[in-house]
Amino acid sequence: MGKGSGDGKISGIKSSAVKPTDIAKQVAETESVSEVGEVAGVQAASAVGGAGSAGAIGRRRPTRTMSLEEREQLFKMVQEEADRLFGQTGLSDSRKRHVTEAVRMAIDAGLIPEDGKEGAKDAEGKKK
Amino acid sequence: MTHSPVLSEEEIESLVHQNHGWAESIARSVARAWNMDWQLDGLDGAAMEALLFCVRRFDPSRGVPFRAYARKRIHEASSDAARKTHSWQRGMAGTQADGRAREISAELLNVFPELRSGELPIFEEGGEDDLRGSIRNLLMGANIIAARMDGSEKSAEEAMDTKRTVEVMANLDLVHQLLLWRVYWEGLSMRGVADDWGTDELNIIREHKALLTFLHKSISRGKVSQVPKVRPGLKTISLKVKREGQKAPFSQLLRGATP
Repeated sequence: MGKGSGDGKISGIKSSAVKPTDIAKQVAETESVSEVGEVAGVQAASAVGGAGSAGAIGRRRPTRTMSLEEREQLFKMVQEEADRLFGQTGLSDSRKRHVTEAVRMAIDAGLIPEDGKEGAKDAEGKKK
Repeated sequence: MTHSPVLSEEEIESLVHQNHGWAESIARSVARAWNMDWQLDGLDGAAMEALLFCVRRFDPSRGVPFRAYARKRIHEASSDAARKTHSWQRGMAGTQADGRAREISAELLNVFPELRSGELPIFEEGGEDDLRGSIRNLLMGANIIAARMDGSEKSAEEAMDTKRTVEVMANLDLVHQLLLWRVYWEGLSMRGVADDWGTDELNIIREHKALLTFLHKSISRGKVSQVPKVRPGLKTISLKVKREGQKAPFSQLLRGATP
């Protein structure tokens, strides 16, 4: 019977080879899903905390903190959105100019250097 | 009326020392935005006065950091000082167009006070679309302020601009027209309107945002968009003002009547 029990050996090998592979696959899948989930969760939480709760204690208005570094980017957005708004309205160029400049000024007036540090080129008040 | 300081004299001195440069940077930002000189135009003195005022009233036990407590007040003091200068009143700082833009921006800071704290008012979602949505609302708010200012001007072009904006606002529900009227024409804060109407400020803020979005869509597309419904938070007020027989101010303005 010794070697005659070859079928048993073969099936034994098959079953022992399949099980570990299945287990390994499951582990790999679980790890990759959990990694992605963790990263996405952290990004969303920090974004919300920075924009709303930390900077606006006791306030309920949802806000987003602006920084002096993004000044030019914000101005560009103001110009783009103004172009879209006034593109087909029939409102005058002077109205467009006043409104666009007013929004830029209002945003600019609220932008101060981090921690009140001096020396930022854009932070200097201009002489008329 | 005097107010006893919560902090000791040493603590007050230390807080002033720590925040002196920071308060000056607020005055400089206001001056930069309006093309003024922060020292010659006296914004530095106003900012320092406001800093001292805030330091003497600051109570750390309330759990609000000093700068979060003081920033808006120092900003207001600086911008108020700027508006009182001769150069502002005579429109000398920059061109005439700059002068009008400055006037509009100063009022915009009152409608959106979070700008004074370096924050943009946003919707709840976040992201760049939201940032752009916020900028669109600021543009529309500025357009309404300009419409009110231009209403008293003689230029035919400006009068037509105002008429176009008022025509769109005249499509709104009575309570919505009253909300915009009180904020933009009467100069009430949103909290002031909420207090007057006995409702939560957040109801007014949300409704205001929805109205600006409607106005933006309607004006940018050149046709009146779907008129926003009155939200549950303002239903009671809406019924009340109708029962009282209050008139829709922008509809009246279009008819040439005084609201």
